[in-house]
Amino acid sequence: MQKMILIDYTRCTGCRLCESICSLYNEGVVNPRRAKIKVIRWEWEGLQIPTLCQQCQDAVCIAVCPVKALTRDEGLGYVKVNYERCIGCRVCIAACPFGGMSFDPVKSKVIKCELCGGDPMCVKFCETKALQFVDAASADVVKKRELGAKVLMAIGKAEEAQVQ
Amino acid sequence: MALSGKLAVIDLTTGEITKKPIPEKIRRLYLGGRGIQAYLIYNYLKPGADPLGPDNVVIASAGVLTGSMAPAAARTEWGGKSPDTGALASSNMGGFFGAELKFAGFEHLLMKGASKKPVYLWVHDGEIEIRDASHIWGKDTYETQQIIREELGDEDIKIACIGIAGENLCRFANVRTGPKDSAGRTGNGCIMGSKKLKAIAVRGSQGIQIAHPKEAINYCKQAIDQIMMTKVAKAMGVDGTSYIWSVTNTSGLLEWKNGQTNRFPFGDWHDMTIEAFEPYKVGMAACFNCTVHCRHQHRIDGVFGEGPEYNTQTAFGTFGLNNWPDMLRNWHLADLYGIDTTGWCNIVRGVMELYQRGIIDKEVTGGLDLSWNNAQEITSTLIEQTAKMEGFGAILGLGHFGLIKELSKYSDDVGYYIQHCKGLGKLGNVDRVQPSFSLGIATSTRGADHLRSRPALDHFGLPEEVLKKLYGGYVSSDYTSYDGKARMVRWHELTYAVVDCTGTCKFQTVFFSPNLPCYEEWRKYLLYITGMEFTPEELFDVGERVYTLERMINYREAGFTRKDDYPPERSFKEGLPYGLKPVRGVHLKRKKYEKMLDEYYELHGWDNNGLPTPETLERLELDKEPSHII
Amino acid sequence: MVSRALPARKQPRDRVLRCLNCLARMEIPPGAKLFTCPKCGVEYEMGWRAGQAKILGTVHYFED
Repeated sequence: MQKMILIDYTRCTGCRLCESICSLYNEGVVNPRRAKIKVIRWEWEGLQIPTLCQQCQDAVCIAVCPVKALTRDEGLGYVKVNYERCIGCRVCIAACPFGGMSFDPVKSKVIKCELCGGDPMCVKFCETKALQFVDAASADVVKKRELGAKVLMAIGKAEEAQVQ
Repeated sequence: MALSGKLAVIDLTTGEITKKPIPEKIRRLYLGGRGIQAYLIYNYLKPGADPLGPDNVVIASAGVLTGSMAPAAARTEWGGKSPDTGALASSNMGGFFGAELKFAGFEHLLMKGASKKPVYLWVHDGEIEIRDASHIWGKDTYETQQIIREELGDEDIKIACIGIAGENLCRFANVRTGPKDSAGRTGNGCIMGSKKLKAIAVRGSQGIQIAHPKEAINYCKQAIDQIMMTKVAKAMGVDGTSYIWSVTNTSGLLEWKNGQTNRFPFGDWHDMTIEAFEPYKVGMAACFNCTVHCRHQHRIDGVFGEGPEYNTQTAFGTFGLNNWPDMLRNWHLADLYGIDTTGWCNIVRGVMELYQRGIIDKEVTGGLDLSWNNAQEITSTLIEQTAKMEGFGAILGLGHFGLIKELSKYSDDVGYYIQHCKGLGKLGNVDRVQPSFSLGIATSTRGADHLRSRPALDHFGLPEEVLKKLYGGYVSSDYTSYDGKARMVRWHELTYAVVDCTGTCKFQTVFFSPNLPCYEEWRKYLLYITGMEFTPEELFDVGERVYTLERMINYREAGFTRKDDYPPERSFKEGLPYGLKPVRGVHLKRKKYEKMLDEYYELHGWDNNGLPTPETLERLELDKEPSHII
Repeated sequence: MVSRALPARKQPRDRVLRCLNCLARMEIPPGAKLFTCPKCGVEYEMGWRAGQAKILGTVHYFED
């Protein structure tokens, strides 16, 4: 079963620990600019939204890459970069509708979320579960359960509604 | 490396900027953050300088771990010579400014001299520019940040700025970043205003090298698990620091009407609880890399804001605001103007008691009715006056020392009712029943303040064997006792100094719970992140060095000695009528306090006048100061 | 849009508190609105926050 990183932005507190851990785990340094995940913050509105590559099934970035450096791993379910082939042309950055691809000035190549080999660190460290690594086919069940929890809380059953 | 954050010295008179690395010797002695800042103040501040003049300094210091992935490694210390107290200016700020400063390659920014025209600093990836700020002079702290971001073309720029309170030299003006983070007390914003420094903008892409990445990541997870399994982390994550309000109010440990009563006199206390705040709440947010997320997000009148915090809840509540909308609106106003709410509210409740007692009247207040039940009507006006240093607000804006001097012509008793330690106003907590808290605020190196040494463990009734093991000597488990409390307070003072050197948040330490990170955890953070090895004893020594150096700064600049190490006189004279049994009618006993103070000095290695002995200075290598190594 | 950023961890001692008057350990029944300290008899108003018990205040708030 392919998994996906499910984002629930209403749970994000804007702490950005995901950015620190991502850059540290993948690039060996704490540098939010070199993280594959980014929390977009509207500071004066109190909104914070984690954003990262959505690992599209029919990825635009794969279609536009002139050197076929991008392929989809159907095992884990993610789009991966072949760094032997990448020429850093950045057409994929232009093509992606989500900003899932970014350019790393240190590598001089593009970088994107590659699920940390199957155990995403951002998910591991996200305390509020704004990021969850769940089976893609039943990701909706996670959100439906949480709606149920909201209902329980509304009818005064707060303890039963405690999310695990 | 995590240790490669530089010191930048910015001379605002000449425009000269010098950048220096921090040598290892200074790291071992002072670690970073508040520690290195104390060193910089002692070395760069011209002795006896006018706090509002060009010889004063204002320093922004990120912690040695700030910007790393250590839990809540977000804090920045601000300091110099306080225009409010005439002694050490010291204030700690959360949010995201410190981390960004480290990403830009700097750990300390020292500003000296004074600019003729309003300027702001643009700090980015090792470079610092001094830019014209005449178009943002006069703007509030929200607009200033928004305008600079637009001007420099990057929404992710972090900015520390002052509002008009700092520009107008209100003595307790603060430095602000984001919607609510502040370096609140002791008037760092006023120092910036006196230098015509409107803001410091930072943006960095350099990142922080971690000495042992794998170990750091694993240990970070472990530390987060330890922190998040404590009850207090959960309470903070839901109610923020306001969870404390129910504890202190229930016990009778909150004071109203400037400490005349400890039973809420302005209506129904239920209206003041965080539960009553619920209609305005829209969420919880966090500082950099913090999993506890203890700050509220709220919306009132359609305007977004962050907060409340316990401090401000007690501060505004203590003089008569008895509902959330009034508190939130006035707090928002203070944030826009850049006024420290704790300092402002402390002074206001003092003058309101003067008004109550007829010591001052409408003629003095410029027509404002300062009765307790009129607080709703005059608060916004007074805040605005203080920010503009106009009318009666101009007297409030002088700070405690200045105000007492100004109003003493009306009565000799003014000093009794305007309560402070070393010129800084105390919080609305009832400290007088608790010897450890009283000693803490009286001896705090920045004036009446709980963040220097608040021994929260004193309230838990921990068994005496546990306390003896932790503090290295006998400490009574009864919070109304004096026995061993000098030892307890000193231990916490030194420990929190270490925390402020690391730049991690006190709320994730022994400040709140014995189960939260302490020396064993911090030395692991330091080892894995910076590669530096410290034993707990060596860290404790750093804390002692920093605290003693701060004491020396206070003596050099303001002549503070034993005579200034006492809580307000009211703490000795008056007990409070209400509260749970341990609290009723209790006040400090002078003889017992003096004995506790003697023990405190002895433990510190200070003489009977509260000054470090030559042996202590030598042991801590402070006899060489000022050493001008950097 | 109300955020649901609430602490997610269930804790074993969520219902255990210390009496503020005598420091005795109190175990609060789930959802209780009132609770009397078994040792000293002070009666508390209870609150519940994300499943964690909390003392809101005393029932007899500082009567004379």
